[in-house]
Amino acid sequence: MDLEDPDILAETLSRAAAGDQVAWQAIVEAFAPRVYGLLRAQCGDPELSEEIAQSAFCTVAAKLAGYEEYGRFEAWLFRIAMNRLRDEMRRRKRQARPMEESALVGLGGASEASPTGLEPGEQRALEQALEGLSEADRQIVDLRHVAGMSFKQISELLDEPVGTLLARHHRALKKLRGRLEEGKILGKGPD
Amino acid sequence: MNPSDRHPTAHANRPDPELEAVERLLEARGAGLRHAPGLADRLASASAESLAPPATLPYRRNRDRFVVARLALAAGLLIACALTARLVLDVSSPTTESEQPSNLRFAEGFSDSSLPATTERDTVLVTLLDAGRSGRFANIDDLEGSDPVGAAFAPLLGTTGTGLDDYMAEIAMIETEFNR
Repeated sequence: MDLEDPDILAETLSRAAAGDQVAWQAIVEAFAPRVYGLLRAQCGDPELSEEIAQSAFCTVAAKLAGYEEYGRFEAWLFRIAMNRLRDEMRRRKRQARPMEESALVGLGGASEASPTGLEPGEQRALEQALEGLSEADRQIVDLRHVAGMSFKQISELLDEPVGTLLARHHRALKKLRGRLEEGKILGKGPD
Repeated sequence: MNPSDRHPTAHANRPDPELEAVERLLEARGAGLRHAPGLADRLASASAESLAPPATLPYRRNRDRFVVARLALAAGLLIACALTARLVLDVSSPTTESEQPSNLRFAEGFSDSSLPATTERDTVLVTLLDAGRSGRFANIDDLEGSDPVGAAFAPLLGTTGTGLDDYMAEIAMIETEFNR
């Protein structure tokens, strides 16, 4: 089922809103990894990420019957997840922090058969470089490269112009590149 | 292609060649973060209970539009029931059945055939009044002003009342007849 097709997505959402469990399963399979990945990138806690993702999907399922803007479904879903995470972080009086060491090893370690393909050193250096970004810039990077959202969808989610987001994304990548070059993870560019 | 599997930069403009290496690292990181075996099944089973039950009525999602119409219909039914109940009670009421028709009959004039004998008292009164009107009680006018019970029995007993003198006269008359 190609849920990237807006018409198919709208039809599947409509069926799920009418109580079709199969349609709902397809939607969760399509979006759950992206929501979970974004939450995990933001908070660094796999268990909390799954808990928040579950809460977000429960909310979406409960409100789906009254939701009609299927063209903005992704923005709606990710906004719920991010708001839920922010509320939970505030409740726990805990700030978003970079990934725990064990999680880093798990992501980059060959023993975990992680699909990242990154060496542990690369993974660690990348996380440190991301830590140097502002929270807003890092959010754009995560939405783009973890949640897999288009700039148009990010624009709908953050309510900011696409041009502004493109510029900030480009600036964030250049900053990351500079950090990674300093850490000898990437070679010096041709400038 | 499933949205969860698509390349994160599928919608992007062509990336800056200088930044391609950074994007490659970020994409690899994103794939690792999205990797969670069995996650979708767990979330689907946990959240499916929150889905609305299958709709059984076609207007379910538009039910708010019919609130006024449904309230008006309910009010109309309530009024109809109240009027029906009142009509049924009016028809079956013993008071109206015995009083209203008899009043009408007295007002319009009556005959023996059209007058139902609802009570013994009514029958006696009707007989007396009808007889008086037809002239059988010649002295009926003389009885006006006396008590109504005496007036009613006077034609039958041959007296003008129920006083003691009348009874004494009757007794004397009967004794005279027997003596003969």
